[in-house]
Amino acid sequence: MTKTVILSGAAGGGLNSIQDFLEQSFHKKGYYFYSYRNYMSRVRGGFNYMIITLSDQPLKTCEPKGDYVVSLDDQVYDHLDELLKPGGQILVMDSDHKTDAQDIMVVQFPKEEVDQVFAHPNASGMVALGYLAKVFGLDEADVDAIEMPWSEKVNASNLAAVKYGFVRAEKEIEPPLRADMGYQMDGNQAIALGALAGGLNFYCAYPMSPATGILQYITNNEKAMHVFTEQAEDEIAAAVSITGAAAAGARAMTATSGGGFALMTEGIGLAAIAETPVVIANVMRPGPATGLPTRTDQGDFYQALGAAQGEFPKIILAPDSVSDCLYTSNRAMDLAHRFRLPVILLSDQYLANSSTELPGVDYDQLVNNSYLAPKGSDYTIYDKDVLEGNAKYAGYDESLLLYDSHIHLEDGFYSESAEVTNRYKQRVLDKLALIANTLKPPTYYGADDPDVLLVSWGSNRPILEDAIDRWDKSKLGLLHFTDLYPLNPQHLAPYFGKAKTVVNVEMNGFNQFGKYLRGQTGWNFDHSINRYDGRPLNVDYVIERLEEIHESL
Amino acid sequence: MNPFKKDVKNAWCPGCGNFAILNALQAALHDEGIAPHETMIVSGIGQAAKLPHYISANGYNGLHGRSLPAALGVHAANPKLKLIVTSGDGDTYGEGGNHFIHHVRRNINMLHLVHDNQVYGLTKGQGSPTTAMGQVTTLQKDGMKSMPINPVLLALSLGATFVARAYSQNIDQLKDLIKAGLNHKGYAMIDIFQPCVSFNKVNTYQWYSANTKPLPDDYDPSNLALAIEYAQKEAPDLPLGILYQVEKPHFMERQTHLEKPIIEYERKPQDIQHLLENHR
Repeated sequence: MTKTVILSGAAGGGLNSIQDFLEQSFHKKGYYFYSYRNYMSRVRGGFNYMIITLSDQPLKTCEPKGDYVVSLDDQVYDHLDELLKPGGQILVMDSDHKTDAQDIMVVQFPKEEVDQVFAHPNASGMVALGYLAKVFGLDEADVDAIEMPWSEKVNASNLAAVKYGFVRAEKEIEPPLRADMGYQMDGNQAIALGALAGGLNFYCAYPMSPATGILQYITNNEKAMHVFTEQAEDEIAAAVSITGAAAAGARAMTATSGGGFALMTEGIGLAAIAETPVVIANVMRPGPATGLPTRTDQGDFYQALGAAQGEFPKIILAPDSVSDCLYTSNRAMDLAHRFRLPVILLSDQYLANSSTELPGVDYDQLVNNSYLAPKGSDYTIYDKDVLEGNAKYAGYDESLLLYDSHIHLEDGFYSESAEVTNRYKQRVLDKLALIANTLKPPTYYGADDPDVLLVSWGSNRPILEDAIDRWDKSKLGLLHFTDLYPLNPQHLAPYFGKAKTVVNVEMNGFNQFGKYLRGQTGWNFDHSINRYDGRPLNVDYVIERLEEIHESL
Repeated sequence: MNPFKKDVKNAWCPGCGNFAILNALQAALHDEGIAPHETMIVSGIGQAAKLPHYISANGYNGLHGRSLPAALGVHAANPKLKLIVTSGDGDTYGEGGNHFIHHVRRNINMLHLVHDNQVYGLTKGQGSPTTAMGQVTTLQKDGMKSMPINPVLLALSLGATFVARAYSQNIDQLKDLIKAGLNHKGYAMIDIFQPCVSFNKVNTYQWYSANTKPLPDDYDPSNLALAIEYAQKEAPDLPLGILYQVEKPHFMERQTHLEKPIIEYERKPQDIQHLLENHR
């Protein structure tokens, strides 16, 4: 059983609250869920919708269309092709509108009556909530257990509205009733938790969609975790402040989206040459400039790869799922400290605004390793023989540390000598070679001898795996990367020539990663599947394009 | 022997005002009984910003304009480090202008030495944010066409809790002001007139000596209105001394959830478990 609910309406109409309440109630009832927020960059008005896919089996992504589409106004009639499955139901909070659409069921609530009975302007959403709760087999006690955060009066009025909807529906689905529910979270929260597990104690950022959730989550929990958090005056300050914090011993991180990341780049080069360990997350949205502020894509791989002037060591990682946001962000913090460099984490709005259940947290995969030298030991900050570990920071003991942004001697004193410059470049190359051997190779999913090999990175993995399962598992394979830079070409050797046809899949128009891979390995792709309209990839989209490619073969 | 002295080749021009500032800082730190490893000296880029290389202490020579954000990080990580930021007028008020504004608002417990020679030295003589209107530079041949920033007045308007002005040639006063700044609880800013012997042909040693005056003996540095009045004085009455000082809770005192430096709290991965319980 897999069913999808879509909640739609204008911004400011209470959609986020209804989604949160529904998710929590469904989760507690044992449903697996995967939700995604599709919203506009505005506070009021417009057309937003939230997808919640529910199942008795674990989910890798959500469905693009709903079995139940709730509309808090009549805008839904303009979006039926896009949002409603054939035979689906629309719940519309308005009884005046007529539709010619066949094979759909329209449940209309008399808006005037709802408005009259419940003085609260957002009551219609609560009516829908109650209706859906009943459809999905929740009991009245489950509805009573919803924790509403408003005043007593508003809560009571909203609960009455929920019940108004509840009694007007029929139970259609039997809930799974599991006992072993895991943790419910979105990609931003998972990134925050992974970093906190890795010792994060300094977080400084400037708000920017869709990365703000990380700042919000860490700040909300600063007291419990003894974290220093600060809203910086701009992204330049955020990026540079984390290098200063690292120089004094903190585990420091910032996050932003592409535009803020552009401002942060000088801090990334600084962190690399000064050898201060930091994590910078770029939760991607479509650019350039302001672009599409609340949508998703993978357009910033080139930006991450080329961030800051000059040649220096850095690591680029891209988590492949909400759950992997936790582990990859933890690994980012560890790698930053192990190699004393900046680690760039490329997430995206799809992950940031996807909420789902993590079955559990595997502490064997989470680390907070110390890479510090013994106190009192002889120490040279940029010792030419040390490429990893053996770190100190200012104030750690009586050693004096001079962090420097120039080409410098081993003790940090600036230098313009050709010999010192060459030695620095050798250090960069040696460190990158060491890291390339340390990072994770790509993962493979699918047929042993595929006709078509998909190549992709980051958040596309679960969707492409679903697509492979649905299309023809015996003919397709997926080679997927989370560790993007530096690459070890040897990791790819087993996959050369594995399939007659290679299809590069990216959420951008330039095939950025595919071309980089070609540059690194000489390995080319024959076709590509690209999406760059700001909307997340989904299984239907992938399969349509796979069929086109297959017909052309 | 002063432990802050360091035997290295210095790249400043002979006769540069920076030498006096370096000497005064080294003497003041030693007099105050501070040890080099307890000190962190942060700078941006420019001639003044080379100072961390010339002093025996922990140092951080970062990017042009970005000394203050780096200092924020250092201080929040370990407020026990004696934090000094040293950078020039272009670095602080030009490239780093936005950081300066917001840094003053935070009232971080630190000393900020701005080497104000009213010109860009390292890039060879262009106008700086404090170069006077009409002054001819190597770039502005017809003279500056923008009004200069008044750094002490700007700092006062932003609510700075310690604002002083010094002149590098008045070494005893400079050293006393640095000591007062080191002992101030909160953000202490000293804008230091410092002649650029290579590029500023107007604001010379002779010019500063003729156009600056110590504050009157009966001057009350707790009077903000008076400070604002004196901060507006122009040549030949540019005031030297502590224009304003007030004690207010400093930045880390406002972080009430932190009882000790963040780096002193132990953390293991399992500590996120109690946060995870909120995700059930």
